[in-house]
Amino acid sequence: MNKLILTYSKSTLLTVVLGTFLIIQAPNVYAENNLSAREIMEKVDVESRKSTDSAFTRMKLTTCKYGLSGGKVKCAEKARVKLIENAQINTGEGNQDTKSIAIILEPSSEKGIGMLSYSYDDSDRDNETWLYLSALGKVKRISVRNSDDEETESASIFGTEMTTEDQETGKLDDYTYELLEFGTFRGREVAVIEATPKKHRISKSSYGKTQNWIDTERLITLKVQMFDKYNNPIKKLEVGKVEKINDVWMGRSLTFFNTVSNRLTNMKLEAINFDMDIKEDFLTQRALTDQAFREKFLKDLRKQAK
Amino acid sequence: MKNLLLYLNHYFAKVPGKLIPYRKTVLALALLSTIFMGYGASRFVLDTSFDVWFSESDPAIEALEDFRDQFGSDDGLFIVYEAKDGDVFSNKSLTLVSEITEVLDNYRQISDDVWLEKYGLTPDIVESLTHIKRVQSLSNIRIQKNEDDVLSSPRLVPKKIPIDAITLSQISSEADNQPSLPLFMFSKDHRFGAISIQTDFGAIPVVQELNDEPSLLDDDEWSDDFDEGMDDNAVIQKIEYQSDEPGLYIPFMKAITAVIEQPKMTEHFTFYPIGNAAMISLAMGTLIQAGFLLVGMVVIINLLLWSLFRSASAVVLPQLAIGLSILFVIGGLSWLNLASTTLIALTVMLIIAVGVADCVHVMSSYLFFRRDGKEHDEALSMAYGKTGVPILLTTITTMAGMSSLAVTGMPMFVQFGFSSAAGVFFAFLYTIYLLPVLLNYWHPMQIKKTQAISENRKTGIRLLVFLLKSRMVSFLCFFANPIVKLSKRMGLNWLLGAEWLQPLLNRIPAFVERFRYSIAIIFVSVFVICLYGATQVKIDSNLVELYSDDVPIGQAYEIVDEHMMGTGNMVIVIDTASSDGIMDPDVLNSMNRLQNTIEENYSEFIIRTNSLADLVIDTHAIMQDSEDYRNIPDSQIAVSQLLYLFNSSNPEERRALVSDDYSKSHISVQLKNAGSNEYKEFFNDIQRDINKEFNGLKDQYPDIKVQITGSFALMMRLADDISKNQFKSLAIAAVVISLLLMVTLGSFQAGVMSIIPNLIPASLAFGLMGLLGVPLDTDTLMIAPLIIGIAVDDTIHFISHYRMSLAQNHNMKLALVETINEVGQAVTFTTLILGCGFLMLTFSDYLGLAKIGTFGSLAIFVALLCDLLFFPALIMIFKPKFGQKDVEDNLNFIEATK
Repeated sequence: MNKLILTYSKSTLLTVVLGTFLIIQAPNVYAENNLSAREIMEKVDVESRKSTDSAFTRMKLTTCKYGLSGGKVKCAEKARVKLIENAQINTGEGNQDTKSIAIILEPSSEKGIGMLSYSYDDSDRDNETWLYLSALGKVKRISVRNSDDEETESASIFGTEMTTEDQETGKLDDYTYELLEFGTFRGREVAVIEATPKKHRISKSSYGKTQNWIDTERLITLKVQMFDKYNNPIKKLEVGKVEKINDVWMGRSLTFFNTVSNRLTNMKLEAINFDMDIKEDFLTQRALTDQAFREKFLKDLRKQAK
Repeated sequence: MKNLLLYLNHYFAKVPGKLIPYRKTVLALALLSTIFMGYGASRFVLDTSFDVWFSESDPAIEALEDFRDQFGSDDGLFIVYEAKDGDVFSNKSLTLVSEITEVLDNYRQISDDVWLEKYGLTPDIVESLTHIKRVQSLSNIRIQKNEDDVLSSPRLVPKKIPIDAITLSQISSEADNQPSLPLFMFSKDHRFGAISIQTDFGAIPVVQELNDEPSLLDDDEWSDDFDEGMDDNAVIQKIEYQSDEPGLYIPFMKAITAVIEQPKMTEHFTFYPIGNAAMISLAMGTLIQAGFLLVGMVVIINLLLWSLFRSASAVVLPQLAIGLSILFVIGGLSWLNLASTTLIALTVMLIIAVGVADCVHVMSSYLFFRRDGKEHDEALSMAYGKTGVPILLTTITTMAGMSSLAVTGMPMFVQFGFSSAAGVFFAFLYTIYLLPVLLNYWHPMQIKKTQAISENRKTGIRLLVFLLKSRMVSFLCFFANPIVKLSKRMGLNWLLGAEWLQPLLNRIPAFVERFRYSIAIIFVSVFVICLYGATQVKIDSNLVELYSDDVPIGQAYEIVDEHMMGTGNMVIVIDTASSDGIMDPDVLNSMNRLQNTIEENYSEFIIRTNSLADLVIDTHAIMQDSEDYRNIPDSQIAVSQLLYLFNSSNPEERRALVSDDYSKSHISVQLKNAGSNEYKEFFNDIQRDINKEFNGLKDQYPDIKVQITGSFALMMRLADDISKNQFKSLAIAAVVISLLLMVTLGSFQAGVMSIIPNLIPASLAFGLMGLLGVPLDTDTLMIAPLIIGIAVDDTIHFISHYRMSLAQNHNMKLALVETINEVGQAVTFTTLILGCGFLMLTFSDYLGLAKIGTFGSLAIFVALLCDLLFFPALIMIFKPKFGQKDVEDNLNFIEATK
């Protein structure tokens, strides 16, 4: 039980929603074939950190055990579907702090569960997260001291096959990169880059190495193959429905295949909108507990969104 | 039958004479088949995994595999430590434990050089630490806090370990107040602490090898269209797990030991590792010791063969019999593509015993006739004439005994039974058909032949034999000489040379005649007492009691059972066969009630239980800020939302408790160690409680299945199954052997008279165990047919020889004297050789083997006394005629010796 709250608080919905896109989004920087593996990854990273202020997203997470049927990957059991809406703004001095809220719309048993997160740039100030369980009508603040949070154990996102590690950005110094191949993949020019965690990093990582298929023109990841520490393939990420949204290339459908447990999670972005008009008063505890208040704001956001 | 036996007698007497002209063909055939079997044996597979003991369709194994599919490994390592300052919460204790935890948790950050210098570990050993999934100790465990609507989970002990006593005592009382920590992380008196290491043993998936390295630029089959329902035809790739090879545990345990057993750690702590990894590396240690003891056994057998026969051929040829028979069994199994289990070691022991006995009987008889002045060929023929039938009989009875294991129906025991029977048969083939040819080239009491026939042709072979012999002799002399010299000084030479034997045997008839009634009364009363003792034998396998007291594992188990959360565990798997079934408050309430019931009713076994229900109850109380809510909420939606938190945080941990579709979950039960006998009852009782609790849910969940599994529970069930089945097969073996004896000895009377001396050695072993309160465990039971087989063999030789002599001479006195003199010598030789050989095993730390040694050698020696004293006494008292007519039954020996 004690472990559960800890890991949960680390994978706030803020990081979930944005982080997952960060790994695949990239602005329209054109490829330069003479870049080293590390330089390509740096470019992807630098561009992906561009601010995505005032975002409103709706995503659908589908998880199931899969099998092959007629050569196609299919769910072999009734899929579990979660529908989540998330709103986020940057606030504070120099817009360095972030406030976000995520509300579960489906399944009905979890409908209304909400999570509010404030994260502060000032490292002396603890990040704050409130959790609301609608069936119990209770709000709890979840606290983790930053200084105590040196562990970076990977946590799942909503109990799916996606983990916080899968959507981590930056930390380029933690890995060594090797360019395996240049070529054409799914009709795009790609560089296949292998990332191996360095010694200090590897014990905290679930992976022994990853191979990344990077679209060198759009600087977006098309596929990631993850290996365990014995060099066995254990998981892969396939990126589909690549579109340019708000001048940013991104995949609107990400599928994580756990090839050991034969489970997959597909994450579809049903809506993603930047530069929305999101009022700061909405991102308060009232939005968690007061359904009418919450619905009013969400309705407004949905209207703004395309 | 009588004619058949006589015919066989003649047949065996003729074998050497018939074979010798074709000796080259025989040798060539033997060589070819040896090469064939040797080639097969090179592909020998020894399967040491745990699953091999169960048939694949065994529902319990299926349940365990399902369990591992769903919930991961149940096989971890639990290192209990005792703080020498009496407080696991002292600054020093916490600092040292923190260091161990850090090293194990971050082993990859330590460089190879440091591993080698500080811990003496090479990179390949360090690599085994990859099996660690999680390390928990007082130094990194987190506690749950709920203050002013704020949930937090700080470390129990801050990273910087406090020095002042007040803070430390606050920490320890905080720890006492946590429901899940006492017993798991520390004992109630704070003397003992624990480091819990979760591993992936037993749940390491076999990742499919890719056929060809595909180009990185090839696209692969995938789709992201999963919105709509499910496809019933989708074939899920079955996950296979690597089998639990002991080879996985040994380096792992070595690395762990190097970390915990540093001088500064052992100065402050005493460690008691518990779990399969610790148990198996201990077992490996005793296995190595057993290996040395077996070598010792072989050395003793060699020395005795040498000193009794004074001939290198008598040392080499029986060993060739053993070697070839073992090779044939292993080669045969490999050609049949059958993997062997560790039981093959018992087959080897049986073959050693039978091979030695067969050869010794032939050679002892041969020597007897040579010393009687017969030439080689005649002596050989007479020896085969005398020993062939008894060897055939012992082969048949031993084969029947081993084959009776087939009735257990347990695949590995069936294979063990049949392969042992085959080994015995191979030893028989060797003794009857190859040994005479080899003896023709090289035999004890060799005198130079004067004939010059085909001298040239023989020279080559002779030279080879000479070379082999001289090599062998000089090799043996290297070891034997110092011992022989020493024994000469101590007068042992006389003892080992068995020069005393014939004079002693000569005196036996008169001695027995004088004391025949006393002898009979003593033996019968011992028999009766032992029969009573045998009824008192407790069939029980207890993991800890398999080791002698000076092996620390026993102590470790006692401490963990008494002060911590127990050494055994089992799981009760609940499969509602319905999605979200586990979220149903009724199901969770049933789980919770069952936990309370069994914790209360079986407190002598159960230390604590844990399940998803506990987690829901805890979370409920926390979320509602009140102890009044320490229960399962009434609505399924509330349960689902409480679980949402858990599900969202760590699916690995969630998956370890409940399946992805929330249809299956389990209750894990921490147990104290006890014998399989007690557990059998316990498992039955618990299953009854389970049925009682969950039958009420049958209306809602018609396919609900709740059963006990876990490797510990399976091991206990296996031990109990083996015990029961083995006892059954033992009884069947006894009946089959008795019937065979009656039929082959041609008379009911002979059968009955041979069964009683046969039963005494076996009943003595079991009787003593019953009287001394030594439990009959799985290992001892497995060896029982072996003990009986060996003991029975000598008696069969004795009786069948007597009967044949009676048929030939129609004179009881002559038959008895001849039997005692001829067979007495061979029986004494085999008894000395095998009895002393088995005695070596008594020194094993592994009581399974030590008991085999003690009771095995005891049975062998007692069998000799039965043959030399009890059987003649019975003959003298009852004067049985074994179906013969016109028998002279004057048995007056005392007069004769006067």
